[in-house]
Amino acid sequence: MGSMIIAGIRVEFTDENNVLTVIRNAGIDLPTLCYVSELSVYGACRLCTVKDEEGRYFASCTVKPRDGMNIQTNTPELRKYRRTLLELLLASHDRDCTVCNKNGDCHLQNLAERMGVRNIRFKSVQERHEVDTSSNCIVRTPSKCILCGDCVRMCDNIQAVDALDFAGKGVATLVTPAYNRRLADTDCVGCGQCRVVCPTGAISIKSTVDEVWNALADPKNKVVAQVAPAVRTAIGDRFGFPAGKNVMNRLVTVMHRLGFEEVYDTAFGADLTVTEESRELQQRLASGERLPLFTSCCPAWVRFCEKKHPDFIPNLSTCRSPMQMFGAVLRAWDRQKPDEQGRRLVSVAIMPCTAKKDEILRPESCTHGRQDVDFVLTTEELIGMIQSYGLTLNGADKDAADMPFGITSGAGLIFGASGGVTEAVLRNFIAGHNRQEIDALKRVGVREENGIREFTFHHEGRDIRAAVVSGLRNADMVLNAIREGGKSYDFVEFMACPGGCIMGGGQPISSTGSPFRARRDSLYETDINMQIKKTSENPLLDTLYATLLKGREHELLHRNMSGE
Amino acid sequence: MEKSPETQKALTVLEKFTSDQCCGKCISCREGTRQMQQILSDSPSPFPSEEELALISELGALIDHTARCGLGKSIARQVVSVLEHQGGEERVIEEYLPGPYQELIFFDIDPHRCKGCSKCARNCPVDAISGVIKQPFVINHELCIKCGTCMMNCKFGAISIKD
Repeated sequence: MGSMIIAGIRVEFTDENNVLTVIRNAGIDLPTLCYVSELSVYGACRLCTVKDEEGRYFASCTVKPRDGMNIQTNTPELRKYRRTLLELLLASHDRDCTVCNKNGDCHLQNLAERMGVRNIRFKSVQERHEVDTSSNCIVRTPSKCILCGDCVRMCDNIQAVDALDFAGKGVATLVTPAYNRRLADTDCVGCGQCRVVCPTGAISIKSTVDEVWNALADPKNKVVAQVAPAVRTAIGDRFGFPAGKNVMNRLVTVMHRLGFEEVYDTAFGADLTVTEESRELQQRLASGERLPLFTSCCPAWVRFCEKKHPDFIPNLSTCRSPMQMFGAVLRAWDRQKPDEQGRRLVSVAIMPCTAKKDEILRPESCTHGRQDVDFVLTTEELIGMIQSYGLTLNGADKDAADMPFGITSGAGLIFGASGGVTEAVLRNFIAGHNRQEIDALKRVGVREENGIREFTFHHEGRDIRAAVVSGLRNADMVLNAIREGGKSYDFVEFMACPGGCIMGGGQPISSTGSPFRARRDSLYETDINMQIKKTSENPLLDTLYATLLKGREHELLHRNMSGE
Repeated sequence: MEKSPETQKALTVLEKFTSDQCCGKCISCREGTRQMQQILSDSPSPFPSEEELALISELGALIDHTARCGLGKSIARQVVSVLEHQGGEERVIEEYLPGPYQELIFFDIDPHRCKGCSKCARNCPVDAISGVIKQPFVINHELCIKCGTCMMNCKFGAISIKD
């Protein structure tokens, strides 16, 4: 508590962690390259350096606010320092901006523009390093790295994966996996959160855009796509829609124009998942075996569990993820009713997620030696395709997702936000279409914002103890607590990305604050407008279970997690 | 082209620092000292031109005001100071290279020379120096990181390296 003078104006502060936050709250957006409020403070970029009343210079991100401070943020000297710092960075940076994946969207580029860097007075001393394309999810280009350490702290602080760290010292410092291994040979789970915080093009999504264009151009193919719930609330960001706006209907039209013959809704796959997962929970509750049940929709979480906590693998649900269930059903559907023109079905999934790119390549994601889903495109990649075609979502007509998988429930839709899977599963535990009970479920704690939330749900005379966890550091803590006996649950939902799929590693990155609330609220808003709230009320599911899925539930909808 | 003794001295300091001592964390020190070295070694004459010196001085001020730790700051000050006194003028600072032999040396304040001005204490990056104004100050060797900042700041030559 107290007040300080910032650039001549008195500003009150309460419990801000550092002077930088006070300055930003006062309306001055001091530039930074290494400060991410969710991560620990690092203080490497020095761009937020300010001057105090005694003429001392300090990095404002590293100093606690004190009552009576008098801070100058924009003296000619400070402005010169900031520009020189950027010049120095650019002198050692791979400045092939025109062909960089981050061109136009790069934080370093933006700051250079903002600070008016027009000339670099220093000799270019950039070093070329090998590009690491070993991961199925992300690509590392070390020559574009500015050593801000955001990815390192994300991978450690928030995700507890620790796949990346600093190596070497001085000008030879590098961000790299330990022993200079390839990313594929580390514990990396492919969540892509490092790419979300990377200010430059040093970490990017591994693109399969060219492969999809080729597939679309081949007349021997029938290319269909499924679109995940989280995509529709984020893709509008890049086309001038307000944050969180659900643009699914316009997206369907535009994707048809790109050449996707059918555009389905992954929420239908989620409906299948909820049905199977509710059954599995009921079975495990009845038998008391392998409790708590852990969700398995999130491939980064599944990898994390396999790599860091293998003793919990039996607890993982045997359900495939919604994308994989849908993929398997589509493939089976195609085998049953092959295309009349004899074309080959190419199945594409539009996902908010980089880890999904790895999931489709797992052995259990294939049937009869062929991948159920051929390609995963992230939201960012689809945006690139739409833009390169010369289309936009703004003027596009609205259209509904294609049948026969076009009818979905609200339960399948809210999968995109952390807590959605749990809420969807618990809705199936409510008898009949009881509006009050479905509404009451929203308030038991499943929609809170913290990364670990626990609550109890009463069902048929017993308490179901559930937890919703997002962020792998949180997952790590919960698993350790369960193992040590400190915590006991029946059902735990795990999502690798903090906030769930809407904040996935393949989503567009907002330059103006976190879009989390807007995207989450938009999904819940859409759910309100859905007539079908519970997956068990989806008439399409009944038909499917009576026909295609009859006797084949295990083959198409489940997987062997234990490798039997 | 053979470099002047001062330029060579500055280059030696920088080479040692960039290859062996710099931690590489903050931009100003990592990239600033690298460019100082680059400018000096690229310079076609025995000592840097006026423009080159101006750029080095600018980098020196940048590092001095924005680097994270005293080590980088002291290197920058040392380089600028050496270069600004090209041509046999009296050098204001004593020769000091923080380096691998740090454990063998320590800094000491001569109580007869110290006037108790407190400048060393105010500039010490780790607050290892204490004392009462107008009385001799004392270095706490437990806390001292041997960066040399105190020695470079002392106007009375009261601080020296002992081994």
